[in-house]
Amino acid sequence: MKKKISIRTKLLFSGLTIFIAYISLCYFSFQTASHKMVESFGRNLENLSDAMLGQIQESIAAQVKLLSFFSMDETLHAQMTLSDSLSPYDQKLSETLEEKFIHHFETQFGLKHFSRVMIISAEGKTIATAPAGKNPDLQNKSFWKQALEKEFSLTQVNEPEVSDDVSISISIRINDTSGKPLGLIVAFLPFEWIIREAETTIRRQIGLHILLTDAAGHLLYSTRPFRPYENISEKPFFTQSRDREGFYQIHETNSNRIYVRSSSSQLKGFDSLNWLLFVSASENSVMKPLALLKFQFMTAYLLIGFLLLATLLYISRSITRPILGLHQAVEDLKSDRPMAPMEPGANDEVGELVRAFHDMAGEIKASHEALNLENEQRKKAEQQILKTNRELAQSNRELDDFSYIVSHDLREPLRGISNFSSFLMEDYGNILQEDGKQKLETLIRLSNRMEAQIESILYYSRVGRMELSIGETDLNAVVADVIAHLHHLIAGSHAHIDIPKPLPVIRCDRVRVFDLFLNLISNAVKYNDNPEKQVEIGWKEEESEFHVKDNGIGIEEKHLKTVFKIFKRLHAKDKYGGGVGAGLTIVQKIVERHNGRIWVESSFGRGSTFFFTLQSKGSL
Amino acid sequence: MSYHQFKGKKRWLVAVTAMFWICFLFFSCKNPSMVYIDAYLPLTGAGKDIGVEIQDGISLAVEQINNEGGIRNRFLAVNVYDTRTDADYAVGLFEKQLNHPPVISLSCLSAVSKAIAPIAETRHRMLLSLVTSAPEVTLNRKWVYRYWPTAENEAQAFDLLLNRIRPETLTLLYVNDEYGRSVSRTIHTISQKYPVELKEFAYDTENPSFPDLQAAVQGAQAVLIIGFPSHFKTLIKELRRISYPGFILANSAATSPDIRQMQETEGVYVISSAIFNDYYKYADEVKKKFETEFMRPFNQYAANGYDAVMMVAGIMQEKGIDPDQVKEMFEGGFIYSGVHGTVKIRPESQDIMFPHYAGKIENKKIVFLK
Repeated sequence: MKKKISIRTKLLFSGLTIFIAYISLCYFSFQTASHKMVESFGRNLENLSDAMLGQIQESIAAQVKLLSFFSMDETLHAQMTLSDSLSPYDQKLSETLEEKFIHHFETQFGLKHFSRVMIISAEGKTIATAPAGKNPDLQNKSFWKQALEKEFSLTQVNEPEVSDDVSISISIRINDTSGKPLGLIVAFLPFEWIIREAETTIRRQIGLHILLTDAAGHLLYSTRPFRPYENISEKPFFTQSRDREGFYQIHETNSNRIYVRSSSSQLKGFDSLNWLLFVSASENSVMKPLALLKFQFMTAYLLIGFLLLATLLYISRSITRPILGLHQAVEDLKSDRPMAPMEPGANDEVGELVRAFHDMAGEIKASHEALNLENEQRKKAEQQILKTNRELAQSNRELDDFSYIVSHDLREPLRGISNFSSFLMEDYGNILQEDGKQKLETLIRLSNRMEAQIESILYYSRVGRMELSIGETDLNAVVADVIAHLHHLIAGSHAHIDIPKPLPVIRCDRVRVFDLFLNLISNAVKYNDNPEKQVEIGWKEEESEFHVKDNGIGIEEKHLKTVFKIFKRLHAKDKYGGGVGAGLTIVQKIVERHNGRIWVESSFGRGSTFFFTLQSKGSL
Repeated sequence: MSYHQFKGKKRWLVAVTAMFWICFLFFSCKNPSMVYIDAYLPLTGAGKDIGVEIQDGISLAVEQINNEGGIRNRFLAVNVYDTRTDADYAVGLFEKQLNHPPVISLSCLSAVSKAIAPIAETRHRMLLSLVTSAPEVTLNRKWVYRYWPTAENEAQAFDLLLNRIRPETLTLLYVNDEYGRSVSRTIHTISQKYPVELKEFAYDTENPSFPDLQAAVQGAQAVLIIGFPSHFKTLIKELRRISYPGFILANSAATSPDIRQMQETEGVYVISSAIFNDYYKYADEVKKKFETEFMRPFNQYAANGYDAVMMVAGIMQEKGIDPDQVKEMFEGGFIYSGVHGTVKIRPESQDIMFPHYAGKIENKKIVFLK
């Protein structure tokens, strides 16, 4: 037997399946979107990094240009020519440097561009320096010497005694009008300015983390608080950047970050610098719009899920409750319990079904109750009928017994009366007067008649009481015996017996059926004043119906119902051969004993036809 | 209520409870554990103008940090306590929180910072003081740091102003608290470089006496106002009311955009941070965000609150969410490029400062003096 699965379970399962499918689809969409978003952001970060590199190049180039322009100033040349005689360095020139390259930028733009600017001789001796207060000795340093040969050099300076800041040095040779080197202008550009200038100029988004390191992984700049030259070469973003092209993702400090690395080697003319620029962003910040959307969607899904659940529960409840109500009602109907009141239900198909069922159940209940009542009445009637039948049967039996007893017991004294009357007539007839003789003859006739009647009653009673001897009987033989038995009557009355087709062989009591045909044929011959008496004996195979037809006197319409009553005679006692008037009654009894039916059709003065059926079991 | 009704209601109760737990789990999983910073700010009282600005600057930083995914995947939260510009009250608040130490605490204004600092030092709690000029707040301390120019630092800009104006007589109007007194001492020292007759007047912040004030400025070629924005508003109005004819100089409190909008501030000489320089572009993005979010101009106090939180958050992101690691970073010194420019804390130093420049309010803007 299959396990029962309720409608609610099916609905919830369907809803859940749809919901999970929907969530999965959305999850897949979000995952794809996340991937695409990271990719897109990574590409943008690469572009941003490239743009920053370009801007760094431009910023440095602009400062180089500024210094170059200054290096060609004739006043500077003149001051430098005199500088050898000054000690420890040229104060005025230093003030000029401070005004032009330090103070100007600080007050104009709110941030120093150069951390230090110096004029040195071709030997490295300081001629002027700004800002005041520190005079680093560059004589033993080598970073500027290249500029003497090539007019210009760009070097990263990692020496705190030269510059407080992590910076690059720009060295430009100062030539006199003949091209002879007078010295150099050396300026230090802090990385923080270079990078901030670049990131501000390209209007970087807040939230980007920018790191600048040298090739060995020493930190030169960070948008977060940092210690200059801190070695970060072991950090995953640095180690993993070596073999990467384009952007890459790193899991660090409990979150994912997207990194892009650019190298100063990409910059034209910056071969001497060897540093790496890292631009990164938290994946969370990149994904924030999507995460927010996802959160909103998830919240919406959760609400939709709850709504779906509630709706499915409501729908299943609105379906199953009426159905359970119907089921209960059916059970009540089946067990004939009083039906529990049903909820009216919603105004929908199920509600209509419930209401229709309720109406139908009411009608069924009412008709059931009416049927029960009728059954009870019928039972009572049947019992009454059975009782009446039993009483009737008892009464019939008693009547038969009475008839038999009476007819049997009366027959002997009656015969005695008849016999003694005959004896009286024979012995004393000659001494009796005519009147007495007549009375005695009447007594004899009456007693004979009474005896005949008693015989008839006795026979009638016997037919009703005795067991039939059912056997296969050829009716042709029976009828032939009857004709032979009535030979004198038939011959005397010149009657013609016609049997159009042979009669069948049936199962019946041969003796009683002989009496049946005897009575009917003799009646047909006797009650016939037609000069050519015709009697036809026939049957219809399809209806098992027999008939005995004559062209005799016929029966009046009004007597048709009484012809089968015992001792009912339609004519005078002695007319048509007399008789006690019990023949047709006996015939009817014989037919009834054979579970048959007998009736008569007649046309008064033209003849009668007696029809009968014989339906003993397997009679035909 | 029948058994079936009860059973039905119980089923609904179970469903509602389940929904509640699902929602709770869903929403709670979106909130990882938090990182806390305490901030003791004057949200009421005389320092209210400063406190509210710092608070908003902090809010902007917190929002930005959390938008970027927080610190090490944990959201940042700042617990703000209103000190009511009252040092004793602030001490009470600070002591209450000693058993629940955050990674770092922020304090504001010299008076409050000076009161809290000894407790922080004794109990080894990291304290970063904002808008705090009094040098003694961090003096000889290991756990207390400052992110604001000291009085001496501010005085360099005043030096520039005095050098430019060269008044023969100068009246110093200063708020009678730690900040005012410390700055006045420094000004006093600087003024000795110049042939200037210095008169000092400490005004009562609650009930300033205007007749005394009028008497104090009488005959002075220049007046230097040291105080909070609220004090400056009152004093400048009074000076304009009495039609004071001399130069008016003021500390950075006068540079706030709302004060510059006052007609009375026209022509006042001020010391200012670079963020009010129109050519200073390094704070533009933050300024824009602040103005969009709070519908008012960004100022030096908001910048200080913003920068302090960004700096501390940056340290925690790099070094770890632990007071010792934060302290170790401060002790070792670092460089930080913030809203105020590139600031440095040198090893063993307690003060993070940014430069102030001399300027003049002209047409509601600050024109920086060269």
